[in-house]
Amino acid sequence: MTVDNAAFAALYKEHFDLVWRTVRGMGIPSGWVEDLVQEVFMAARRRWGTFDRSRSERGWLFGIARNEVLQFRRSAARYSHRSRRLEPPSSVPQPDEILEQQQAAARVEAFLDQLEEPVRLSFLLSELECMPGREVAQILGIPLQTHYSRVRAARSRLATYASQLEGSVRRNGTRG
Amino acid sequence: MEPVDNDDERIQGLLADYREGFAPAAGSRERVWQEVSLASSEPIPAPFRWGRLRWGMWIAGPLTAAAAAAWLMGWGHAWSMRAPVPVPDAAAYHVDVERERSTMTETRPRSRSASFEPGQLEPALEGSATISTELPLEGIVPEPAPSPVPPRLRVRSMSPRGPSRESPMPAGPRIAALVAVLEQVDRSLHAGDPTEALAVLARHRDELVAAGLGEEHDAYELVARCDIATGTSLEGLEARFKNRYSGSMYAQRIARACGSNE
Repeated sequence: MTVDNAAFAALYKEHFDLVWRTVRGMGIPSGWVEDLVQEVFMAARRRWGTFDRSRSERGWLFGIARNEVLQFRRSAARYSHRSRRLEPPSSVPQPDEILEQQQAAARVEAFLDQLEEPVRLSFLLSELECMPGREVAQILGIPLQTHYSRVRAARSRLATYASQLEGSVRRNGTRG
Repeated sequence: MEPVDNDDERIQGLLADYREGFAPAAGSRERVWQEVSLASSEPIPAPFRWGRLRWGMWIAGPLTAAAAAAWLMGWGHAWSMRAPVPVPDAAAYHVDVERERSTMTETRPRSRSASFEPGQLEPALEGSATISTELPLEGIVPEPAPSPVPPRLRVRSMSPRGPSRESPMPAGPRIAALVAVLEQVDRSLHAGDPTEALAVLARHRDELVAAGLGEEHDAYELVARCDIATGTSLEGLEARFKNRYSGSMYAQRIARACGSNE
């Protein structure tokens, strides 16, 4: 294995989860995430030779992931009503704890779907990936203050959303 | 310092659940790495060095200018006055093309069978002159022969996806059930419902792979996806299939569905 291969393997190991969550966070159905992630890393491998090592690796990967997702959306746009049907029903019984966690994750996903794309990306990188604001602004090519205001707006909406969720859970609990 | 306050526990709890709940599926990290490694068998291109290009431009620039000047000073005229290059006549060209075609026809089956490991295919398939372009559903229904697995299905699956689970069912009925699954997928595709086909394939992926039908699964999956998304982002998937199953009998159908030139 050459040094470049080792470096690429290290990149893969370190940022696989980030790419996965980014693809998922951008609204790709679970059945397609693995393939999209694969496309991202294959594209990254093709461009590995031209990657400027002084840049942020995760910023670079995020850019590739965003392109792949946009390409996927374009090609699937005409069939969006069908692609929703691709989610196979889960038949494997799961422990309550995991089930609850997944339900909560699905709620956040539903919330993310409500956000406009620029707000969603700022929120995704800042709050879910915990990237510093400056890095996010650089990756997205926006002023730092713009990024902060987007995150603030998203957080405020998420707080409202969470309150509504709690309210509905309480109401259901009272009925039950 | 981030100007966004992080003290809202509800939000933090939701975000933590999101991170945990949508973590990569078990085994996906290894599967994706395997695919990435498989698909790019060529070495990673070396980093591009601008320094080299700059030196190259310093050298190539003056050389190009000198060549242009020489051409203008009359060398070009002398070059154009050389004896004309003989052009081969059309009949000879035709014969050459025919000879080449016949050579290709002869070597094709040999190269195809050579792409598989010995023992992966039954002798019945090796040496057969005609290759079906459709997915051979009719041919893979098990017969009451001593072996419950039909010969042409004995292509060892190279698909790394999914754990190989042992089914409590005996091999014969299991294969028959899986063939029925493939038939269902085929019917969905012919009925113009590739999403249904994909859903069925997703449900039975592990069983198909475990039963040695990984190639069939991947072929149908690719055809269905191409039916849905006509090409644009699926070239990589198609190339990967060809790479993994070189000489696959499904290649032509995939090429038709994906609109590529086989």
